[in-house]
Amino acid sequence: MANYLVLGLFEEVSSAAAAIEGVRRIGVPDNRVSVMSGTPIRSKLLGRRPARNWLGLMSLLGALLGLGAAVTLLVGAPLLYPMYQGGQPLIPIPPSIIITFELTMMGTMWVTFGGFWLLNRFPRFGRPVYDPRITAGMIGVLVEADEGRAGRVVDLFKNGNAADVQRVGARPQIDNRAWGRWLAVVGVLLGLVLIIAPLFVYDVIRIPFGTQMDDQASVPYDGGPRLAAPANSVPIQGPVFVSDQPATQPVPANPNSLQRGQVLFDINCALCHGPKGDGNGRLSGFFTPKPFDLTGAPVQALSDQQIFTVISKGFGVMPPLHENLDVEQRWDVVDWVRNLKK
Amino acid sequence: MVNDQTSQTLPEHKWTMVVDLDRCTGCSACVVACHAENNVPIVNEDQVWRGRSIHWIHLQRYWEGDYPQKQARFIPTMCQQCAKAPCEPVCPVYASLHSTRQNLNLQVYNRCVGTRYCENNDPYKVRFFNFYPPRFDPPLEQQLNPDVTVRSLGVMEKCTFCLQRINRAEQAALSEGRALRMDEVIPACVQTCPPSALMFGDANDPNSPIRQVINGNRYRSFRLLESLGTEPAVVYLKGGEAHGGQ
Amino acid sequence: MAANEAHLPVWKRPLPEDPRLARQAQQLREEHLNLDPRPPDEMMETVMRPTTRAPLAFWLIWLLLGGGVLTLGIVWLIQMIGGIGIVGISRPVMWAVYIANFVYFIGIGHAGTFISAAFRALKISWRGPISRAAELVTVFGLTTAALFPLIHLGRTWKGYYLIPYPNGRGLWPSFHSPLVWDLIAITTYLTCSTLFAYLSILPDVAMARDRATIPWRRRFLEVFSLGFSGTEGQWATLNTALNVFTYALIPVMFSVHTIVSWDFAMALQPGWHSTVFGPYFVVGALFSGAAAVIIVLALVRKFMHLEYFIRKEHFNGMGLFLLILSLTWAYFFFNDYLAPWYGKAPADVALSMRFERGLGAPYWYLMLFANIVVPWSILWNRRWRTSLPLLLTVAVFVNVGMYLERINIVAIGLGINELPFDWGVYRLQLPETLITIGAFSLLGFLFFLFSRLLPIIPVWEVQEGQQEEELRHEGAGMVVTRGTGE
Repeated sequence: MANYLVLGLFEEVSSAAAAIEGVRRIGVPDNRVSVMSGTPIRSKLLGRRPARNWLGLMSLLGALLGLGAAVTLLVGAPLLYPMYQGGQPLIPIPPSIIITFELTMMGTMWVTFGGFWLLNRFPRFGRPVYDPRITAGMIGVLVEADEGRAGRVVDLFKNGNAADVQRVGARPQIDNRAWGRWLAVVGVLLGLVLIIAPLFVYDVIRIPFGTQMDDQASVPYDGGPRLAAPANSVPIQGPVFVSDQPATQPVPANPNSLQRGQVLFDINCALCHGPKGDGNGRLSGFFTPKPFDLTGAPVQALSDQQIFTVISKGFGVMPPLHENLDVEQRWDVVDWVRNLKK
Repeated sequence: MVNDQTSQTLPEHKWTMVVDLDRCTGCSACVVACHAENNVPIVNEDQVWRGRSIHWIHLQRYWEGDYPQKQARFIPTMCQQCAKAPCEPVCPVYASLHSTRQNLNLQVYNRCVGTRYCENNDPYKVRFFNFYPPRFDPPLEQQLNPDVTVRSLGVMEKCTFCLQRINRAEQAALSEGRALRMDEVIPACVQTCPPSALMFGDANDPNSPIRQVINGNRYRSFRLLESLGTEPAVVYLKGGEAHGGQ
Repeated sequence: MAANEAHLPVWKRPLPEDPRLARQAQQLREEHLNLDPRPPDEMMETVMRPTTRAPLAFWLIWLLLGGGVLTLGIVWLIQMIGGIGIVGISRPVMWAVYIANFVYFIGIGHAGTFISAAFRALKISWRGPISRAAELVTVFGLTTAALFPLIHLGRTWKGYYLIPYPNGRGLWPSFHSPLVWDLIAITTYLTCSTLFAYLSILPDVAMARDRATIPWRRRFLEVFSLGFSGTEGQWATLNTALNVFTYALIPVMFSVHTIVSWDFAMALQPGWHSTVFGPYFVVGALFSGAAAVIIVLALVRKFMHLEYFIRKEHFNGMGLFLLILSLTWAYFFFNDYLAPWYGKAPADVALSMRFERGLGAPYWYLMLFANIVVPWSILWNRRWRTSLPLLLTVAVFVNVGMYLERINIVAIGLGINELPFDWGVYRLQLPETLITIGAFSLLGFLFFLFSRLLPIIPVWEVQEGQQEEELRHEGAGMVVTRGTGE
């Protein structure tokens, strides 16, 4: 037999209550009657039994969940990863009380909210029988009855001062499948978060941070100096004895330099060191010790600066030549001396 | 205690510093040494005027009297490495925590998020914050100590009793299979102090020099703000007029 | 009342014939909202009309507030990139305006919860129309407040270290720290206040949905109302949920500001280390919150033309509430002042001197004037209490005074500590001012946004209150709930 839904709108509580009583007398079971209103009306006024709801129990469950989370955090984290602070025990009691209280409350309220949605199948999909005038103060009494009784219900409502009566074929008030799909979507999104977040947290995906202090400005023990040595600093190639002059030959040994060097050498140095630089100059016999052999290893092993310094400042019996030769000339001589190497 | 395996085999130390105020001349060589050893940044003049200079060890200076009898009293102050450090439990991220083996207060730079609660709870105010990224203009970065992290913007720093030197000495001793000698461990400030006003050592070791100093000077020793119950590891020895001198 | 009148709604019942009784009846209806029901349609229309129509001034002010919020964002970005050094904090004043703002915005949220939860539990009848505006002060105030712990961090981008989550390094936040207690407590309070506000707005959204004509608004309200249709099961679960939230939020509310006060009380800092801070801060929060709610109610009433709903009786109640809180605040302040004064510990004496005679004197005396002298001298008189301009002035003074109280404790109080070499002075800088203005703009911005979309008066609770009133006077069966008002 086809079922029908009859919606009656009433302007006041007493007529609605009378209608409900009448519907009960017709024989419609209580759970086929529902009342909708824009403001809450006490069930006693309508002659209905108060609707039982399980939300209170769910709140309690939420409280237990919160409590469990608190205890897990407060006991688990310090025991697994003990770190000491300020002379306090690993699991201090007063802070634990605070955290436990807050998390228990949080659990209670979140689960209550979620339970409110679940118990009422919010959000409601589907096409429920409804009239906007309900939120304007009308009390809607919705009755599901079979064909015979539906007609009697309609008459009852009309005689009972109903402002409006509608009758439609029975249809489900909530589209459970759509709601289930919505729940599934929410579940999938939550699951995605729970899967992707650990990827970051467990460093499977690393995000380089500038201020991680990984790159240190200091020079590590196994690293060399990162900058070229500034001017006037002590070079690694060799000592500098004359300031303002570099450690190595600044004048390259090109033919010009060598020619100049040769001429200068013949004028200033060959008398003692010999034209070939082997220490057998015309005056060499008058000196003790004899002038050095410039071609051999000991002199050639000296750094450029050292040779330059000897030329400039002299060495032992050899006089300084900084007044005879200017700087460029001395470097040219150094070039020529290098050239004398056997 | 940080969870490392070697800590089970190494002995527990109670690193203590003794500051002899009778010998301190206020020369601030310790301040400079600490800057050099621990990569402590210099802030510019405007920041100093705003009270943001960073000196892990500094001389607290108080003026007494009026001209011409005006005198300066100074106390070298560094992190007191309290046994019950008030700066530790307030750190929400465990950047400030306690090493039960070294009995030191550790500062983990990379964990610090910069809430600055530790400085608020520190009665000695020996913690310093990097308000700006610390600058080491070239070529000063060549001077930085590779043993010590160069901190970034927004982290707290403080004296660590030159923990890097303590660790080095311990590792050397461990690798050579011998006990740690007391003269191996010396913080930069202690090393530099010209009149040896700063002394350092393990107070747990009954034979260490520091133990002798502490035992022998009980009649003039005190700790800063003892009544707060922080149990600092720095012992000050009274000197000058506070104790029968000039 | 004659029998044939019993079936008429209250707004249709004729006045008594005796002119004196008629005048009395008229006066009662004018003064008490619960004795003056109107057709539900009309009530809803009054509440929803401002959401669909707004004058040009509204848009201009909203634009200005939006600019303020943008300023907040930009200055924060500059601070994060350039360094928190652009702000006035230094050693030893490591916390200043940002933390004071944090405490202030959380504080003003407490009165909201008190009105919507505690007044509900105590069944105070005049809480009806004001509870949602008050609750919104809580939700929006907490949202704004939640920004400040991030803004004041030296490394904001690492702020997530405070959240307890399992990670590859085995690092958890320290539950010893009051800042972590703060995080948990404020998260609880903010999320649960929002959920509470959502639950209580649901029937009104259904009401608005049924009335909406503009398509996008209708769609928005349909989604937002979740398909609420007012069945007995829905009302029963809603009632249970609201009860659970009411009785859970009241202790949470007390605990939240206590925990915020423990940020200070746990420190060894002179002036902070006081055991009375817990209740002192809670009462201070309620005090500043009540004043903030009064300001919001006055503005909402005037600019949204809600004179039907918010009447003198509400301002009278709020004014009395404010006076009681001012007395209680003064009691706790005196407690906090007396012990250090008596004990004469040197650091405490130095701090008191800074407040009474030193740099902090203007702020300290202004705070006392605004929190004690102004409310006590004005709110005792019923005529003055219910005079809107005067009450608004008192409320503004109280807010200024309570803001200064937090500045005194945090920014000025940190300047004095145990060792005089480390004393310092806090100097306000431009970024902090801009961000504070931005925070207030954010609060206003969110209110303006809400006022465009959703009803700001809980019409269903007002109607429920009116029906309860009728039931009380006239008994069951006489309650007429009808609609169209003809």
